[in-house]
Amino acid sequence: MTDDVLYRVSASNPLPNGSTAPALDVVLARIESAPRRPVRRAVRFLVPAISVAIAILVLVVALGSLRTNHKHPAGVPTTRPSIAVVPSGGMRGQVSAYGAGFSSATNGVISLQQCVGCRNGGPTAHSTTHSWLLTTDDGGQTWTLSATHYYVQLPLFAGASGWAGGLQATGPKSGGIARFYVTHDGGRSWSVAPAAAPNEGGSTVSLGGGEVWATGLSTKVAVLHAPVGGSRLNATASQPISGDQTNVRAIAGGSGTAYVFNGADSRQMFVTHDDGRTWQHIHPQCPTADSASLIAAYGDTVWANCSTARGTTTGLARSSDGGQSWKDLPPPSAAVFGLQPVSANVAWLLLPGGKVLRTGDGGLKWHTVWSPASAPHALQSTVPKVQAELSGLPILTAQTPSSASIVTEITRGHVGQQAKFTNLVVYRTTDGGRSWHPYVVSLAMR
Amino acid sequence: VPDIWELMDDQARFERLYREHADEVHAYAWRRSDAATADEVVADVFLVAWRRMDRVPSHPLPWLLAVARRVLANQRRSTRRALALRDRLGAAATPSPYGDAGDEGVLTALSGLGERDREVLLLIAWEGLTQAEVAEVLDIARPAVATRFHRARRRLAEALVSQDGVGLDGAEVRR
Repeated sequence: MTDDVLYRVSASNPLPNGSTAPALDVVLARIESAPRRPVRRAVRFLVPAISVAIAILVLVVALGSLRTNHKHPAGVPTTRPSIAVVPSGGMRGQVSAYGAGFSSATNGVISLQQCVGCRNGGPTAHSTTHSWLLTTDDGGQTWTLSATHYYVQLPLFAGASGWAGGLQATGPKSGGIARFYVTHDGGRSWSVAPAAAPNEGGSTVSLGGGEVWATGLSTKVAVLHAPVGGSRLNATASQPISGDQTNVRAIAGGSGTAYVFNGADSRQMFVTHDDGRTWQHIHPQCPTADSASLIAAYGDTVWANCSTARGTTTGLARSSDGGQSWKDLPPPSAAVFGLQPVSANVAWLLLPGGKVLRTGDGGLKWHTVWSPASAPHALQSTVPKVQAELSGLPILTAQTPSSASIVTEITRGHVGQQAKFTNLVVYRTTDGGRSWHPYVVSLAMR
Repeated sequence: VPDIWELMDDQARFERLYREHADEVHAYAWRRSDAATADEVVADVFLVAWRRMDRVPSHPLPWLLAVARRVLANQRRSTRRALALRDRLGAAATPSPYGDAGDEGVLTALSGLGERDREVLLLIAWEGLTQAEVAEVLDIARPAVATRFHRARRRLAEALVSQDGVGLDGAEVRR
């Protein structure tokens, strides 16, 4: 009899199929705005005593580190120290990730710029800048920091070889010179790659089909390419665009294939399938837009951004046959610039606000897979004495349909406009963005 | 200053906790209130969870439901105060704690049970918990759960028979 009772109670369940809780972001926002935990009375008595003990400890450690620092030039180690021995007192000033990338599931690199004495993000008469390289070979669990004389932006890899546009540092008081950089050891060390035309505009590179493609500018623009395993960028046999053009970009496709377009004139779009000997004109169809620009490619799949004269994205266009025919797609956002296709149908996209979207069907539907709101700052701000926030736009690098990484900067302890300390948090996913594992690259004072 | 690694570990654990159990906590709260209250309860429960990540057990659902139960009780106390005020002002009557859906007869019979017995029955029948998990949620000994469960089923059966005039085996009952 009583089993029948239980059955009737179960059958009277008002929500037999359960319900859906609010999105995590909503709850995080609630947590962020919640009042902090009240300090218990016992803690109030303990805090002064612990503070005195910590002050004594800090004094002892500081005296010890002063003795250690006396042996080295200020702040710049002469060897490659482990991340555990970041200069005593932490990396001061404003630290920002200039570029980041992973050459494999385990090997990654982050190029750092440190400005000591900068104000509001800019140099002053008394500021100095330093360049650093962080590398990992265990998927981000441990990092090695080394001082360099260059910054690499958006490094791209094919095996152990990698290429990047970057800056050659010309001293702590001056800026840098735009260069192309190449590595053949997974990013641990980079050297300047000679080029038939110099990198004058901070150009980035594009990898695909075992080749690297870029554009350089001397008196006229030049499309450059090289085998990924090479070390010098040569001009293609024929050039599709002539003149002193500063807004030309080359995008790698499959083997021998590249796409070139002129950002200043959307009618100038070309494809080559023979390493740049011949070029064919292509033209994305954007029925409701004023202009189109090529933004990314994967083999014969090429993506174009359709936008108004003011730059608002009205849609995307995608070609699966190297630019011969095009399919209109809905816009995933009002601005699209960080698209990274990793297969014919899968692409990752970084939005201007920092959200990361992913499509698995060639751009018909997009899903948010990461949001800055879920970054740790939202939670850290609830912890007493820690005021942490995300600064700058995260850097997204997608490797495969399932794996991608996001590098974020978490600043703490603001003094005026200047962050006192910065940590990096690298989020890695290996399941297509369903879950992200955070790795902290702690540069702050320990 | 807390070590940032600990914060990050908590962050990852918290997000996983939310992904895996937020819907269950939401359903638990909704079955005992309404959708808007359930949203509030979920936010409050996970705020508590975030602040006490070091105390969240590896099998967290009973712990979360225990927190949800306390949050709901607090909300009901404040709701009762609000409703008492509304009653004095001539407003509407108290809404059913079980929402609009379900078997009216069973819901009426459930209302006649003691709160402690009813909660044991519903945690098993609606939330699908084991008696051991119910013991965790209610913070009572497992034999006490078994006793309350047995008593609740018997009393509910009697109430339903009395209500329907028909035994659960279909035979007519003399009043």
